[in-house]
Amino acid sequence: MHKDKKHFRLLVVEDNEGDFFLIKDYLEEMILVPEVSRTVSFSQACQILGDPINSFDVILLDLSLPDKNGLELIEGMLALDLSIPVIVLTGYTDFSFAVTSLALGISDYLLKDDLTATTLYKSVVYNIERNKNIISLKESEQRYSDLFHLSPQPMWVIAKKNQQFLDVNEAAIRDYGYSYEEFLLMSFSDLLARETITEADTPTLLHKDGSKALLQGTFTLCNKKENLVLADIWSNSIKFKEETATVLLAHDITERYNHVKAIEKQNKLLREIAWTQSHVVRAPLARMLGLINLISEESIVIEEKITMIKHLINSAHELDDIVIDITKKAQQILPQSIENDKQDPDH
Amino acid sequence: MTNRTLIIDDDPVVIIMLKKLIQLTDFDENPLTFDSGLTAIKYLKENYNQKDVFSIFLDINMPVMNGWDFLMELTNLANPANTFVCIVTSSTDRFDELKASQHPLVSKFLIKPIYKDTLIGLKELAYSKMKERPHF
Repeated sequence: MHKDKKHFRLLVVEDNEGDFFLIKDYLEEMILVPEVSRTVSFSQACQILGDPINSFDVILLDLSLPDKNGLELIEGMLALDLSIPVIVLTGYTDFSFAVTSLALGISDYLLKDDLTATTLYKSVVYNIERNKNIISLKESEQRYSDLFHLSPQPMWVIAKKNQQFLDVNEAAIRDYGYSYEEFLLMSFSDLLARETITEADTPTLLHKDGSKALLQGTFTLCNKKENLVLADIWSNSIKFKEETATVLLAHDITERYNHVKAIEKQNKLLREIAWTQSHVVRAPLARMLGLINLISEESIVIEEKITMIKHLINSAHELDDIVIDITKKAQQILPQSIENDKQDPDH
Repeated sequence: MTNRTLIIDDDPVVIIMLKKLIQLTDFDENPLTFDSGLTAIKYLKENYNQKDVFSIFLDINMPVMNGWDFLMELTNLANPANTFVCIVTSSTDRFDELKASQHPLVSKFLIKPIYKDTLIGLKELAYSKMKERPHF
């Protein structure tokens, strides 16, 4: 018969001499060179598994050991948190117990009376392979969990039914000042500020029927220190621990908003200046041009011309006052940069 | 049938200059002057008629009643056939010009200062309006 040439490292935890040799025989029947280690008690198994020199592909576990047995033994073994499959070998034919132990995380449950070389080999190979998939799935879960918890932007998971916080990432704790525990006692509405920074705020959408109505838009939020934060919120539906939930991502746009506001204010002042140039400056200037033109007119008598020169002088003064006023207004627009220019003559 | 010229401006110096130019160019020997749209509209309500030609030099930025408000009142009163309004402004605002061009009573949009040549051109326009008038 063709034997499996792959390298298998197996730990058999079995106190019964006869049973151990039977298992070893079965393994050697199907595998060319099985590397079988044996311990006769749970404490010994713990010792061997605890030593980093040893590494195994699978554990074959008898359920009645001198120092531990049954459910207690299974729980003890799983508590070691090994990332390798544990196959239980037992004389008990209790079906519900088998189901319970599988639910706890045992990889397979084999009856010693029904055991053959083939069934044992199949179980060993199958569970080693399956375990690899389980590990990669766990790693993938961990990666996604890290994406949430280590995201540089604040993120929350909220329950769809009442908007209660179910999970919070580190950035949210850092930016909003509430601890993880405090967050879990709050709901999204507790984070909404009473007043709003901008009229652009999106009204809160409540999920009444668990429909696709997601929380999305611009919201004025309030952190624990009662500072207002304008945030663009994006959301998506997810399942969180068997519950329909929404994952929220908040992008703080307060600074950007204030920046835009400042620019809008500057633009308004610039428009005012442009308006002044067009309407106010030109009034005395146009008057002066008109007066000069009339003064050069031969048909106008000298007395009239003298009056016109007086008007000309008044208009010139009026123009001067306006120019001074505009300069003052222009200084209001960029006081910061003017200060900087003073400090840095190269600029 | 006579030509009646109205100058509406809150700036007394502008009134002096415009009046002088209107007299110098023989546009009108005795133009009427008003320091607000309100006094001008009051005059027109009492004196407007179909047989004379009304030439109105109108400033836009005035207190009490500005040029636009005056135009609104004038629309209910005057006929474009014998009334022509010249907006006279120191503003170079394109918006004002656009707004003025859409008004049926406005014939010209003039930017201060006004010179003799401009008034000579306007005189021809006023005379052509007079010729078009049916003889009463």
